[in-house]
This record gives sequence, C-alpha cells and structure tokens, in this order.
Amino acid sequence: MITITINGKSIAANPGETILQAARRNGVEIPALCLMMEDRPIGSCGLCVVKILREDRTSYVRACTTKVEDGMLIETHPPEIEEARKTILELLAEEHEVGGELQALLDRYGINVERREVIREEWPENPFIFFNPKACISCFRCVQTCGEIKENHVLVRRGRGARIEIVAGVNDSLKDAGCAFCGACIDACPTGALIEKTAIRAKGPLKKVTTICPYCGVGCAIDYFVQGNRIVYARGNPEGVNRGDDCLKGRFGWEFVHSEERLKRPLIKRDGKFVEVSWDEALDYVAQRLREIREKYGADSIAGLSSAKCTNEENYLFQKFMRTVIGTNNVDHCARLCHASTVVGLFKVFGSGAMTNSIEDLMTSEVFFVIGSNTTHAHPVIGTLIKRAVKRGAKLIVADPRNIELARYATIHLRHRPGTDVALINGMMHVIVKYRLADYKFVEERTEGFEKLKEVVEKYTPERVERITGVPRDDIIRAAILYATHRSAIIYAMGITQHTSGTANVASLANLALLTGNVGKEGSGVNPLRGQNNVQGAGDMGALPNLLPGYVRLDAPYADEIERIWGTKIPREPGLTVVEMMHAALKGKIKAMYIMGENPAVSDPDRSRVIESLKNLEFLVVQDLFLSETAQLADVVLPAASSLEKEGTFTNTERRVQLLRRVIEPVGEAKPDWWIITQLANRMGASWSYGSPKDIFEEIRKVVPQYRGITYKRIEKLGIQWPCTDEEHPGTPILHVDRFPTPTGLARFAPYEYKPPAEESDEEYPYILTTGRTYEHFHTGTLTRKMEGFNELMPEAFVEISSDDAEKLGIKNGDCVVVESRRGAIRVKAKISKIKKGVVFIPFHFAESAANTLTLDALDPEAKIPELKVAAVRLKRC
Amino acid sequence: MMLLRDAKTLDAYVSSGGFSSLKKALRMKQSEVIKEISVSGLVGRGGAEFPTGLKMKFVAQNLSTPKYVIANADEGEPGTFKDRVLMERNPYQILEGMIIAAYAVGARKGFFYIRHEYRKIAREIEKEIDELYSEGYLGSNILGSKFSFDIELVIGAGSYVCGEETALMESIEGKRGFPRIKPPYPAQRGLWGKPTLINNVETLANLPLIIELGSKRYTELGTHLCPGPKLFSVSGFVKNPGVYEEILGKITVRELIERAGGAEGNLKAIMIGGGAAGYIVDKSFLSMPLCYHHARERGIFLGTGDIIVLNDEVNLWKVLLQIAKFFEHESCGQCFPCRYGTKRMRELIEKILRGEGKRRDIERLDAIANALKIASLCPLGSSAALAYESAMEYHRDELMEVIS
Amino acid sequence: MEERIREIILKHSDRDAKLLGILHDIQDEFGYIPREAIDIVAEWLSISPGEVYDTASFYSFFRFKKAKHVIRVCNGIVCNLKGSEEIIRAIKERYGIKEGGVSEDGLFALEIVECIGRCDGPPAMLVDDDSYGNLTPQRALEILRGYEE
Ligand SMILES: Cc1cc2nc3c(=O)[nH]c(=O)nc-3n(C[C@H](O)[C@H](O)[C@H](O)COP(=O)(O)O)c2cc1C
Ligand code: SF4
Ligand code: SF4
Ligand code: SF4
Ligand code: FES
Ligand code: FES
Repeated sequence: MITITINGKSIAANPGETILQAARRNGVEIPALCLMMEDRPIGSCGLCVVKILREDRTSYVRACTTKVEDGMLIETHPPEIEEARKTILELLAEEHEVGGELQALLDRYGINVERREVIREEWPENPFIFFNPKACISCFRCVQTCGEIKENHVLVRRGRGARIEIVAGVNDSLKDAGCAFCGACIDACPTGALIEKTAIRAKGPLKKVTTICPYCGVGCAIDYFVQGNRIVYARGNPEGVNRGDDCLKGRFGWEFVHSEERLKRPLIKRDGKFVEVSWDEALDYVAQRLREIREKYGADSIAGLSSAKCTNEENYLFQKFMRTVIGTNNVDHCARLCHASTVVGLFKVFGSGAMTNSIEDLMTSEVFFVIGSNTTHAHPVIGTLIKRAVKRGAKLIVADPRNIELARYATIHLRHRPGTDVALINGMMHVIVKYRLADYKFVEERTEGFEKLKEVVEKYTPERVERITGVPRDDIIRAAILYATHRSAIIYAMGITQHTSGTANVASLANLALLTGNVGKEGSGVNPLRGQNNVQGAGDMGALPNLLPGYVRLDAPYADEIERIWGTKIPREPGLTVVEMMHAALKGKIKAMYIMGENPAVSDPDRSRVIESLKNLEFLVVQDLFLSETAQLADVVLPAASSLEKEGTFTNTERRVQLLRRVIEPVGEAKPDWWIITQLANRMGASWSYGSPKDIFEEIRKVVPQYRGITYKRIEKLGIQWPCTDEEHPGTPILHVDRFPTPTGLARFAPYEYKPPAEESDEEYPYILTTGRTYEHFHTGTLTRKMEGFNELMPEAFVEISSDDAEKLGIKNGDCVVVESRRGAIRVKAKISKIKKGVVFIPFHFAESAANTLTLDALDPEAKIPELKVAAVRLKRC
Repeated sequence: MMLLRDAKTLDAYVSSGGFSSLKKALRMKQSEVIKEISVSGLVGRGGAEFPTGLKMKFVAQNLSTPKYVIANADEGEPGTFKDRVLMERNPYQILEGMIIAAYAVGARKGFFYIRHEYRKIAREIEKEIDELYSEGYLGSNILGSKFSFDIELVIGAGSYVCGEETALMESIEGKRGFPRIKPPYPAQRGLWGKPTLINNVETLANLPLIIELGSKRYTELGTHLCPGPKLFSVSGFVKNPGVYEEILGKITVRELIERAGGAEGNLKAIMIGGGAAGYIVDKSFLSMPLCYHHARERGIFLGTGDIIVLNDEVNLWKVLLQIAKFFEHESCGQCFPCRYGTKRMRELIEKILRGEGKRRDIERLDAIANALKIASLCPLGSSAALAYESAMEYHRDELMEVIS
Repeated sequence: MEERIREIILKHSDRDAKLLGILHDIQDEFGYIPREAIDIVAEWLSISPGEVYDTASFYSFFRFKKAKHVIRVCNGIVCNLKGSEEIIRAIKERYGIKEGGVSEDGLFALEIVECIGRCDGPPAMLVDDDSYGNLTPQRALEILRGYEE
C-alpha cells in the first residue's frame, strides 16, 4: 500500500492502480468519457485530466492512464481543469447530436450550446445496426471493441484531425467489411450513435429477462429487453459463460419468435389441406391414431424423433413417452447426425462421451488444435476466445480443407483431404512416439493399451500420411511437435464426426490427447463443440434408442432402478436410429412417426429418400414452431412454443446445465412441448401430473445420477457442470482429473486404421463435396431464414470452389452451377475461394438447394452417424 | 564547421577523419561511451531538449531485448530545415553517430525515419547506408568487432505528428501516427514494445564530435550551461535565409540575424523555437544570447532553433491564422481538445480577420488555449496555443486593435 | 496488377517496417492506392483491409484517386509570407483544379501542404519528388509545363 493525497485528503492506494481507480474507490468522481475498460484506457477525451503537484513543477496528466505513485499530491477539480473540461464538452456539443453518457455529462456541467450542422458520411445500409454519424464523437470505443476485444477489425478510423471518422473496412458496408454483427460496438458507444435498428423507436421502460441463447451449444446467456410481448433488443449477459460476448445469432436472431409465419393453432390435414382445429381435437385425434397403429402393427411400428432444440425436461418426457406410453425404444434425435460418434468414440477411450474441459479454461491453453470445426462461424463466441488467445500468444493448429477464418490466425494450417483425419492424427502420433515426445508417465499411470497403439501408428510415417492426406510431411511433424510439447486443447466439431469413420476419428483424437498427457488438466482435453443448444442434454436425457437417461444401457442393472422410479416396464430391445427409422419407414416397417422440433426432410442425408420415407408413413405428427418442410408432410401439426417462451433447462457443450426463463408469452395458442407430451400421454392412458418443468426436473434428478446435485435454485445465476452428485457438489469443470470412469479407472487407447471414406472421387464424379454451416444461418434455416436480416446477409446457398478448379471448369464467381452426385442434383451459385483443390463446400441450410440431396447415408458402423462430410460430385455451369 | 562540414562522399568523409570516432568508441566500454556523452552536456536537438546521455543510460540499463535506435529525420516543424541541409552536406556523420549510439545502448537494429518531402535525400541516404554495409561499417561484426548493427530506412507519408517520437514508432510499425500516452517512455517500451533510443539527426551528428574531442574539450565549446555547436534555420524577412552553425551561447539573436544579411524591412517581431510550436516575441529578444538556458530564463524555448524574422508589413493575425491552419491540418485527431480546439481556433481567427472579432472571441480563444495546454494527449496539442499566447503577451495592443 | 502488387510485397518481406514502404511503392507504381492493393496487402500481412485503410488514410501523402503528377505547393508560414497564395491561385487557374482535386485530364493533382523544409527559398513546391524554390507564379507554371509532355 502507498499513500497519495487527493484534494487534500490522504488516502491509501494500491501500487499499480491508476489515479482514476484510486479516486473512484474513494468516492471522488472524475469525468471519464472515453474509458471503457480500466486496464485498456484509450485516452482520447481528455476529460479525466488531473493536476499533480511536485516540488519543482505542476503537471496535468490523464487520471485514466496514470499510475499512482507514493506521495503523489493530486487535485482533481482545480478551476483551470474544470474550465478545460467545460471547453472540451462545449466543443463536442457544438458539433454533435448527443445522447447517452455524453448527455449526462453535458447536463452535469450545465452546457447548453447551439449545435451546428457538421456533415459526416453515413454508412452503406446493413440489416441490423443503425449508425448516426452526427452523434459519433470518434471516441474510438467501438473501434477498440471491434478490434482488440472481438478481434473482428471491421470498424476503423479514416482520416485525421477534426475530420476523423469511423468507417467499416474500406468505406464498405458492414457486411462487406466482414462484420460479425456481434453488436459489441453498440454496447461500447457512449452517445447512442450506434444502436440496434429494432431499438431506435423504443420508448419507455424495458423489462430485462436473461435466458439461454436459442442457437448453438456454447449456451451463451443473453439478456433480452422486452416491451409488452415483444423483444426490442438483446445483448450478451456478462455473468454467463460468454462473459458478455455474443454473436449475430444470439444478438439479432430472436426475431423469428415474432414471425408472421409462426404456427398459432393446431392443424389437421383433411383432403390434403391443413385446417385449424382446437387443441382438444388435435390431441384426441393423435392419441387415437397412435393407439390404433400400435394395436394394429405393434409398438415397434412407431418411432419418435426428439430434439436437441428442446429442453432437458422435454427430451426426458419424450423418451419416457416413447418407452413407457408407446412401448418402444425407437427414439432418437438429430445428434445422431452430428455427434453420435463423439459419444461412442469418447466413451470407448475415456469412459465418458462429453467435452472434457470448460469454455473458461480454454483461455489457459497454450496450443489449440482445431480440427473439423469452423469455430468462428459455427460457435462464434468460442471462436472469438481462440482469436483473442492467439493474439495474447497462444499457438493454433488448424486442420481443415477450407480456408476458414481461423486459418488466418493459425501457426500451422493443415489442409487435409476430407475423410483422411485418422491418417493425419495417426501420423502425428507416429511423430510423437518416434521423437519420444509422449508423456510416458501419464501413459504409464493412467492408460492401458499403449503397445497396441504403438503398433498401429508405427505404419503412419509422415511420408505415407502426406500421400494419403495431401499435407506436406514437414507440416505434420511441426504440428505434432507443437501439440505434444505444450498444454494443448483439441477442439473439434462435425468435420470430425460426420463420417463413416466418425468414431475412429474421435477415438484417434482421444488417443492423441492421452499420448501426450493432455487430458484431465486445465487448458487441455478433447473438446467436441455441440451444434444445437441442447445436443448434450438430449443425449443426457436418453433420447437415444440404446441408452436410457444418464447413458444407462438397456441391459444395465440400473435400468431396473429406473423402471422402479417410473413404475412401468421398459422395453429392453434397442430401437432404431434416425437413418434406420427412415429406411424402415420406406420399407413399411415403421408406420407412424412423432417428430418434435426436427426437420429431417432437409437435415438428413439422401434427402429425396427421406421425403419418400415420410410420405410412406400412415401417420405423421410434427410438433414445431413453423410449417417446416417436414411438417408439410404431416397429418397433424402441433404448434410449439419457442425456447424464449418457456422454462426448463439446456445443457451446453461443456456439460453445464443452465436455466431458461420465459422472455415472452407463447404466441397464439402455441404450447411448450412438455405440456403437449404430457397431454398426449394422459390421453393414451398415463397419469402424469407434471405441472411445470421444475416438477419434471425433480424426477430427472432422481433418475440421472450425473444431475443429482443440480437444482433450479442452484443454477439461477450460472449453470453447473455435470457430474454433480449431491447438492454440496460444485460441479465438474474438468473431467478425468484423477481417474477415468471406466471399470479399471484407466483410459483405454483405441487405435484405428485409416479407412477411405465410403465414396471417393473418381473419373465420373471427380470432386469431393463437404457440407457445413455458415455464420449467418443455423441448421436447416427454420429459424434464421424466417428473418429478413439474415436472408439479406446470405440469401441463398453457394458452392465454394477453388480458383484452379473454377478455371478448369470455366466457372466464374456468381455463376449458376449444377452440382450432381449419384443421388441427385442441385443448382447453386459459385463462390470462388481458397478451398483445397478438388474439394467443394455447400452449406446445408437451404431447402431449395439442399446439400443433402447430394450426400449419401453410408453409416459409421459403430455410431450409425451418416457420412455427411464426404460425397463424390461433379460440377458444370447451368 | 563541425556539423556542416561538406563531406558528401564516403571518401571525403573518411579522409577528413570520419569514422575514427566509431573506431575509438568500439574500443571503449559501452558504459564509457555513455559517460562521455552524459558529461558532454549534450541535449537533444529535436526540440524537447532532453539530456542525450541520460536517455542512452535509460535504454542501456533496460534488460529487455532487442533494443532499437531511431534517427529522427522527420523535420516537420515549419521554418525548420537544418536537418535537411545537414543530411545533404554531411550525411555520414549522422550515420556514424547512429552506429555509436547503437553500440552504446546495445541495439542491433536501427531505423532511419525521414519525411517523404525529402524523398530525394532519402534515396541518397539509402545509397550511403548500402555503401556503409559494403565497407564494413554496418552489418555483422562492424570493423572486426563483436558488434553488429543494421539500419532500415523508413520514409514517412506526410504527417507532422509522426515526428513525435511515439507516433513515429507507430508509423514504423505500420500503423496510423497516433502518439502514445506517456509513460511508458520509449526507453522503457518503444518500438514493438522494446526499449528504444530515439534522437534527432543533428543530435546524432554530435556524437562523433564528442567521442573525437572527448567530453572535456566538447564542453569547453560554448558556455558552461549549454555546450556544443547548434544549427539554426533562419528565414522570413532576412536577406540571406539559410542554416547557420553557431556555438551555443556565443552569439545573440541580433548577431545571428546580421549573419543572415540582416532584416528585410523594419523588423517587428521574431518567431523563435519553431514556425508553429514556437513563440512570437518582440525586439527585446534581439539581445538574448542563443542558448537553451537563456531562452528558458526568458520564458521561452529554443526548440529546433528556428528564427523567423517578421517585418512591419506582416499582419500578425494572418501569421496566427497560418499557424492555426497548420495545427488543424496536422492534429492527429486522437484526442478531443486538440481535434476540436485547433479547428475552432482557426475559425475564430478567420472571423477576426474578417473584421468581426469580438471580446468574446478572445475569451473563447483563451479558453481553448487553456484546454489545449491542460488536456491534450501529446505535445502537439499543448504547443498549439504557444504562438497565440506569446503574441498576445508581446504584441497585445496590435492584436487587440481589430477587436471590438 | 495483382502480380505487380505481389512483387512489391515480396520486396519488403524481409524488412521489419513493412506497411508504409509497401504503400509507397504501390503509389509510385500506380499513381494512387487501388482498392485491390489494399485487399492483397491486408491478406499478406494477416490483417483486415480496414486496418490497412486505417493506416493509409491517416497520411496525407497517400491517395486513393489516380493522378499522373502530384503538385504540392507549400503554404507553410514562411512561404505564405512570401507569396505562396499567388502561386496556388495561378496553378488553380491554369489547370482548373481545386485544392485536393485532380485536373480533368488526370495529369495533375493539386495539394496545398505545410512546410516542406525549403524555407530558405520560399515560396517552394514539390512536383512528385522534385522540389523547386524561389517561385514566382510565372516560374511555377513554366516548371509545370515541363511535366505536361
Ligand atoms: C509534434 C511533434 C513533432 C516533432 N517532430 C520532430 C521532428 O520532426 N524531428 C525531431 O527530431 N524531433 C521531433 N519531435 C521531438 C521528438 O518527439 C523527440 O523528442 C526527438 O526526436 C528526440 O530526439 P532528441 O532528444 O535528439 O531531440 C517532435 C515532437 C513533437 C511533439
Ligand atoms: S460510434 Fe460511438 S463508440 Fe464509435 S467512435 Fe462514434 S461515438 Fe465512439
Ligand atoms: S455463440 Fe452460440 S450460444 Fe452464443 S450467442 Fe452465438 S449462437 Fe448463441
Ligand atoms: S494533442 Fe493533437 S496531435 Fe497530440 S494526440 Fe491529441 S489530437 Fe493528436
Ligand atoms: S477518460 Fe478519456 S482521457 Fe481519460
Ligand atoms: S514554409 Fe514553405 S518550405 Fe517551409
């Protein structure tokens, strides 16, 4: 502690703090307009200047940047400084429309001057953010946020002196400048020059409700500001896992709830046309039809698709409904299509199928190995975290055939051929073993099966791997060394899982982590990023044909315990997975389906066959927000409430169980899914008495051991990461710290040989198609494509193609191209990019040019996940 | 002449004793070199008048590496052209000084930052640097010693504030020339966050002299308060404008003007210290000996050593307008007081020149001057009102004549 | 163009101070800084085009409009006292250019600049990299004629 004197009062100050901090702590208010983060002062406004008296001279310094020194004599409000502050504020007020913090300061100093017209340039149009150049005082807070904090570097300064202005890119529109529309600049702006378009006309008090983002698995907490039953704007909540960050979808992606196209009443199809009916009529009809079909064809002729977009409570009820009310294990959900191989692969090696570490602790990683994840697009908040870490000195290895945004930040970019991941990873392990870079102590103490692994990777010399993957051998060696010699975290997503070798890919990554001891400690681990916000939860809740809630096998002793809690029998024959259901429907074995919040008609592989299968059903019930492509094929459509209209819990990608709050009342007659399922169950003979999601959660706690210690009350502020075994347990941020949840407590190396993908390019279909997600849209677009702004940003599908290939085919940027596989053809616009030669990419959000018309439904033998990431195609101009 | 000796070729420079100081320095300990320079009393010639030896000591003592040396040849102060003439006539002495400085502080890499208006000279300097490489004065193991040093030439792009040391570093780093907030000072965290010695080219040209003469003999030049030679740019209404090399403290303002052929017309005012960040004083300063010490005693700074002579045909408000325009144009725009204050000053002076000046406008100018001095982020802003304030002090009656 | 820009960038690859030098060379080559150049330079330096522009637009020397020759007339304090305004007027009239503008034929851009360090020969101007002092309106126009070809 040191002593300083402020305005004649002696006070104790902490060495290293600024004068402003010390003053504020002691109740001395110094105006500070340009300061946003105390540890990164900008220093532009000059309002915080204070006077320092020394023996030989006095000086004036900025309180926001100047550190305290022992014995400092400080005056904060001498007349000459107050005069200067007034002058500065007058100068500002003369040239700008004011609002926000600045207006408050002007009022405080009693400044009331005439404003003169100063012409400043407006920005080109954009769908979400309004910029008022007359109110912009060029304080650079938005520039600092956009650059240093968000690592987007879109907002910059143009010119100098009094003509300095804020522009996007090179006078581009926000979109063209690469704006992420995270909206962080809006939060930064002290004058209201930047504001959400939806908030411009909002007047009067707004109500703030915090809930979990309806999109990806990061599970950001978002504050929604509401007036009446309408959302006005949204922003990241500082206390959530996102620490105030958010992305385009989180911040602006709520408008779908107010869409005109929302389903507002139940529909029954009569003579090929939907007619609106009452809830009673619809529910009675569904119950009756399901009963009839069960009686006629048996319970296993009915299948259900649960949803990773629904809450834990709803997933739990859905599988319980299928298992106990219908009496079948034919229940699955879309995670089959994204992360089934994660569950199987990680389970095999670690004994548990979830992300090992936490979002927060990724900040301590020294090296990131990002493979098969376009993180900045699909999981933007984690993408930003990685970019920031790299700017702070962390190293990044990116393995991806596309020139994804993170590649710009990468120390090493491995552009391997799609479907060759196992070879690449084995190659890295070969190098690690050869150069003796493994963590032998860890391997010795915590694993088994090392010899088997050694045998397999022995054959994967860098030279051979180069031939298979197309990655130069030196890069493989460099990547292996970098990964092995640091505290390294593996991050992956669907680029790893959606393969016939999905399980092999995942297990190989787990092997790699084990080999180098990068498991069970901070900043390391194997971290699958979950696509939908509740993929983790849907799995945890047992919306799986072979596992009960808590990943309990149907033949496990604990299954009896669940039967006891439920008070009914559970069928013990494993049911069908998503793709198997579709096959069975086509063959007429499945007669009825109950689909909750999913859109397999667009999301599933070999889409024409899926549609045929659904058409082949005798009875189809779909429960959704919109009349999706799948719902259009249904016999009954039930209008569901969105996640912003209900309570419950979601479990994010890092196993954190988080509480949802109702932001607005459901539109029209839409009802929460849990209510619908309960109603149906009771109409089919059950006597469920759940009055709220909380009642259901209390039952989940009894059934699922990992959730036992979690209560709604405990997660009011921030969620808890499972396993959490009792109400004292703090949750588990890092898995496998001391032991693995296997019978021996040891992890088991599970080496795999490289196997080529189910379909390879050949003369007839010379290009490899890979599919994925874009920043602007989500999943099949059921939500995002209902919003004008999002469509404006990305109105249609495209096919990314390398400039070499484009030249060969005579294709120019923007040309219409026919992409054709053995299963079908679609037309899309060409987008020339830096993608690897011979590879093309199409996003899968667009029903009218659905990428999944082209993909094949070859399955991973263990996880039954289809190979969505590799298909052979050919291209030609339309 | 010690600075303006004509040595445009390496041969000419070496044959008149050039690079013997470097050889001598390389045989000395680094701390000895710094001591010599400290004892010599040399202060920076770039305007800020900071003791050069002390600055070198700070850089040398900093343990962080790498370290950098920068030669500041951005010379943007209006009325200043001494660095240009020095570079034209005696470039090798600057480079030799730079190499000595690098040796003393332990830098391996240096940058020579020159304004683009001197592009032609920059081309020459580039050739001269190449020459020094091929002759073994630059590169690895200079003159057979263990010391290695490289110089990269960087050309500015039209910005006065980039002469300010921290803005200059931003500029070298490829960014806009926004001055940084000090502290940290360049000796602590300079170029790319590393300890950096930055000196004006004239300052650097003094180093070989000090090593050659020894600090004792160097201090015997000039007065005991301000030793050493200094270049003065004399311009305005004089018969022979140009750069004059004088020993500090040995001549008065009047004598210097006489050396430049005397005033054209009736001398009314003199601008000292810089054509923008300088002082507009009256005839009473003619008797002031030209040295830092005497200037400070009279409440002004010698700055870059400019003398601009103004005769009685000159309208002082017009001079002030010109200066105000300069600051408005060169304000980097980073901080509010300077960004808006310089603009408003120009507008108010224009109003006065239109004959519409009111007392209120003078009060406003005073208030802006106060805000500039107190709250600007860098010295550009805080010096923007010097000319106005000094003119008001020494020529108040004339200036107030047009105010109603 | 793209190829030429890449060559320029490559020339600077082993220097520490890159951006300003690259921009200078690009402007020398094309007479201004074309948009494509900004994109290519940004990519190569792993920064955003906006960041390049943030820097480039700060410096008054960098131009984003094309001109064959750039006239920079000093209107610094000394030149101004010695009649620079007459020079400026003469040039404006002769070529029909506004301050900061480009003549219709794209031959000359006119910029009014601060002190160019030639106060020993005022008024002074720069045409591209060449400096001229002790100007009269007549002499200035004569010099410029030499650039007309
Ligand atoms: C606005 C401004 C412009 C400056 N321009 C120059 C310049 O052109 N040349 C120079 O040597 N110093 C200039 N300086 C001073 C430098 O910041 C720095 O003090 C000087 O380079 C240090 O060298 P010295 O100690 O040898 O004088 C300028 C300072 C300010 C505030
Ligand atoms: S838009 Fe707002 S935050 Fe950005 S510079 Fe202008 S006033 Fe500051
Ligand atoms: S990162 Fe994911 S959870 Fe977070 S705001 Fe974006 S879409 Fe929502
Ligand atoms: S005082 Fe002027 S030049 Fe210095 S930082 Fe502020 S705006 Fe820029
Ligand atoms: S708060 Fe703006 S300069 Fe300190
Ligand atoms: S004022 Fe024109 S050259 Fe200096």
